[in-house]
Formats: sequence, structure tokens, C-alpha cells
Amino acid sequence: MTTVASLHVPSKPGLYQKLTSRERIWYSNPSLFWGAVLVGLITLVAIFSKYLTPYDPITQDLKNIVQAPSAAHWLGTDQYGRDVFSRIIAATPLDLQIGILSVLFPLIIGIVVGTLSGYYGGLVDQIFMRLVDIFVAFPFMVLIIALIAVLGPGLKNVIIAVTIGSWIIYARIVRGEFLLAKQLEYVTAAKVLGYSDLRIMVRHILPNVISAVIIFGALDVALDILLAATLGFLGLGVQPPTPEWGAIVAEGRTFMVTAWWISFFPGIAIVITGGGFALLADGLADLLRTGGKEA
Amino acid sequence: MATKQALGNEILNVNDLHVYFETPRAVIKAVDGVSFTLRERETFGLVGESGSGKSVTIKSIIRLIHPPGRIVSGSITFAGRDMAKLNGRELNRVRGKEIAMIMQDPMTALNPVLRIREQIMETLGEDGSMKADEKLERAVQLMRLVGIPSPEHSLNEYPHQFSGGMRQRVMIAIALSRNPRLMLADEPTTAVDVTIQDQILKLLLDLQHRLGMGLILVTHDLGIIAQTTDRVAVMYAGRIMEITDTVTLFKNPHHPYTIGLINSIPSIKRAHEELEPIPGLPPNLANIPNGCRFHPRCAYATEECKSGDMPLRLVGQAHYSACIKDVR
Repeated sequence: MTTVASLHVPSKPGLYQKLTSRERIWYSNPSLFWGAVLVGLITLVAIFSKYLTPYDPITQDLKNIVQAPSAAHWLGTDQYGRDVFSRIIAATPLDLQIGILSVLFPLIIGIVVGTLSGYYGGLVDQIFMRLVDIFVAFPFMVLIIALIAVLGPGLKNVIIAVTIGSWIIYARIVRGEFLLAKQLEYVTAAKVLGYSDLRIMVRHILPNVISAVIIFGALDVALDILLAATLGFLGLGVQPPTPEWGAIVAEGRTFMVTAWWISFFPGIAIVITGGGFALLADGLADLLRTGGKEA
Repeated sequence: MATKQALGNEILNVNDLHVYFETPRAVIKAVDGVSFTLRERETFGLVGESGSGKSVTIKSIIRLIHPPGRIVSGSITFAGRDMAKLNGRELNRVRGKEIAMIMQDPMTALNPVLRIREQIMETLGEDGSMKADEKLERAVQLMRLVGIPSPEHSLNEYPHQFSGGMRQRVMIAIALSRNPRLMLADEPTTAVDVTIQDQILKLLLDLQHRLGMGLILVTHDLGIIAQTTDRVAVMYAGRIMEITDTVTLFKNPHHPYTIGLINSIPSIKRAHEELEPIPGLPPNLANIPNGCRFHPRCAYATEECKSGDMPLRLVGQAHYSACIKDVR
């Protein structure tokens, strides 16, 4: 009787249509639009950084040290005669990597821990949350610096240290959302239908609560890039001569009065990237808050 | 009322069920010695005030009692199995497949991020026995069964695009998807308006007769009980006060509490008389009065009502009441 062929009826605009209908995003969610544009551009720069650097970012050119911005060196040169523009471009993939990976790993750990803790409660929750308390007891920066002191400086160790330091925030967010969501009747309804705990957690609750951590994560990318810059500034991050925004700012600070451009432009790069991700986070929050829920 | 088919064998037997909520400050005796049976194709009503233990009773049947709540004693036998002794996997096999439940609030009982189609089809062919297009066909069929117009279109929508009544229909469709033998309905119509309430109840009864399920209907509305059920248990403070067939309950109630409930229903015939509410409030379940639980509110109570156990006793044909007097 039923004709299955007749089932292909166009549905109401979903997330996909929302993201693809240009004028809607442009007018209704400028944060998302500009955030996505900025992050997209930065990602493109990171991917093609090798072809975008006019000079070698590492080779020193001692005849041309501390040159002010000019046609030859758009953003000037540093104390070793290296082109600042090239160094900023060359640092982009590295900084982006730090920002994204040091959000991705804590995000995954936080979701797993928060899910188990919030869903099961009781002893599981007690154990995880006391563990979280231990980490919370340390000031964040002190914990990171201590961990890097133990692990040694470098890209990999920065990511490891940030992961150890920041998964707790994600775990707490997810746990809190689960505590709320598991009270709702659709969870009881799913239990009554005989679904397994794993299925209820992953398929039924997680999609409802994930937006909060994704929004926080997008914002955290910006914070982690700043953190990487801070660590670079302190000499705990990526080691010279590898270009990294924070490290370049640190190197240039002694010449602040005579050659402001060495520190200034990588600082701008940090601001633009951080701002891009912050806008993206803000726009995502708007989108996910209304997405699928507008009545 | 639709013509009743002959009732089948007993499928559910609840015997001396005690469900307590053990909080640090007190033990709340939500259900304190409830027994009843249900036969195939029978509609059984559980009626009582808020906090009388009716919801807890049916949640116990499907083992939805979470700490600090606990089934302290008693047995729940469904189709020959003791529900209390099933392990997690066996329980999940019974849930949804043999016993289904309809939630009270249709506005929150569907997952807001999944399309209706996904929510209906997820229950089908869990064991991989159905192909995707078979599932879709069955989903359309179920949507038709519960009276949702243009199911092909509706299946692609999200719950927020549906009204409360439509969501309740979807809930029923999901509950029916695996042909359960027993349907539990926990106040299925309290959250929808009266016209929808009537439609939903008619739909439930109609489906019950067509599919031959047992149905337990929990409600605080005696009107719904009168309209729909074959047999009723009146609950008060965690106990059954009176249990009999629906006609007898309304024509010839025995327990003063039942009489009080019936007298407090507004009626067109008695439009000019004052309603007679039952005085007082239900007892604190942590501190239940001795003797008959209803005696502090009962107009007929005497000294002998204040002590001793008040078991159900036979007062008519298949008519049990927990009152030691014959006040009618």
C-alpha cells in the first residue's frame, strides 16, 4: 500500500540549509560569518604558508637587521635580519596546530569523563569529580609551567601540558549538561524502550548537550593560542629559531623602543586569530541555540 | 464503550509490592503493600491523588525506580518472569518489546535533536531483522495507525514542529512499534487539553482492542477511569483502598475514600449542590497514621479504625475494600 517513493519530501530548513543560505547567515548571524571568514583565511594561510613567505623565515641576513617596514620587507626585519612577515606566516600552521590540538584532546577526554560521570552519578561521579578537584586545586598557569618543567619545552609537550590542565573544564561542562538532560522524559522514554546505556548516552543525550562544549572549545582555541604565545614568551614553548608568534613577540620586546614592528605584528596575528575563533564561537552559540529548536 | 473482547490469561501479577525511598532524613513509603493482577486485553485503572503511589507502582513494573528509591519487597510477575530478578540485558529485552510505556509529558518525552523518523525507526529491527525500507514502511504504517496526517511528510520533521497532541500520538506510535503485550500509560493526557485528551484516550482504547494488549492507565481523573477502564484500583497513601470492576466502583462504592472521591466530581445533574471535598490532606508518607491510613480524614472513623492492619476484604463479587465498616 505504502509507496516508499513518495517519501522524498523536502524537509524544513535544517542546519545545512541554514549554513548554506548566504543571505540568512549574513544578516542573522554576522559573528558566525566573519568568524568563519577569518578562521578560513587563517587556515588557508597555514596550509599554503610555504608558498606565501617571501623570505626564508630562519636564515639570518645580518646586513639587513632591524629594518623598518618597507616595500622589500613589508613588516620590517628583526635583530637577525629575518623578514618579520615571513616569520609570522611560517608560524601560522604551528600556532593553529597548538590552538586546535590543545582543544581537541581535552575536549575528547572531557566528553568521555563528563558523560560517564553525569550519566551514572554515584561512585563513578565521586571518583572523577574528586580527580577534577585535585587539578582544580592548582592554579592553571602554575600547573602548566610545572608540567612543562617536568616534560621539557616544545610543541608536543605544550599540547600535553595544556591537555592535562584543561580537560577538567570540559568534563565539568559535559557533566553538568548530562545531569540536567538525564532528568528529561525523553531519556526515561529511551530507557523504557530498552535501549542500552551506551546508546542512550551517545545517541540520545550527547547530541543534545554537545553544543555547550563546542562553543566553549571554539573560544578556548583563542585562549590556547594566547597561552602558547605566553609560554613562548616565557621560553617554555617552541624553541628558537622555529618561528612562533609568542616567541617572536618575546624576542622583539628588548627592541620595543627602537624597532616596535618586531613585536607588534606577531601580536596583531595573535589578536586576529583569537578574535576569529571568538567570533566563530559566538556565532556557533547563536546558531546552535536556535538551530532545530525554534518553534 | 467499545464491545469488550473476552479477557485472556493473567499476564501481570503484582504481589505485596513495597517501594520505599530511603532518604537520610526519613523513609518515604511510596508504595506499601500493593497487589493486583492484569489479564490479557484488560484495561486496568490506577486512580488516586498526587502522591498516592500510583506512578511509582507502574514504574516499578518496568523497573524505573532509581535510588534512593528501592523495591523493598514483593514480586512483579510478568508473563511468568519475575521482573525484579531480571538482569540488565534481560530487562532491556522486555522493555519496549513486551512492555511499553507512554510518558506523562509529550513536550519533553521526544528527543529534540532527532527527527521523528529516526525516533520511530530506531526501535524497529534492533536485531537487524528489518531492512531500511521495511523500517520506513513500518514507520509510515505506525504513523497512520495513530492518526497522524501525511505521515510521509511528518516523519521528516522534528518534535518541535508538532503540537502536544501530535507528539503524544508519536509517543504512542513508538510505544506500539514492537507490538508490546502490555502498555503502561502514566497520566497520558494530563498535559494536553480536553478535546485532545478525548482523542488520545479513544485512540489508546481502539488500539488496545485491535492489537490485544493489556493496558494500565494511571490517572487522577475519575472521569477518564469511568470512560475507559474495565477494572479499577483506588490508591491512597501507598495502598490500594478499593479494587473492583469499574461499573461497581461508580454504582456501589464501598470505601469512604472512594465515596468521597466520587462525591467530589462536579456533575451536571447536581449543578446547584455544593461539591463535597474530602477534608484534610493526604498523610506524609514518611509518617503514615496507624490503622487505616484514611482515618484522620474519614467521617465514619471510630476507635477501631485507629489501630491494626486494614487488609482488603471481599465485600461483593470480585469487589475488595480496605474498610472494616459497611458505611454505604
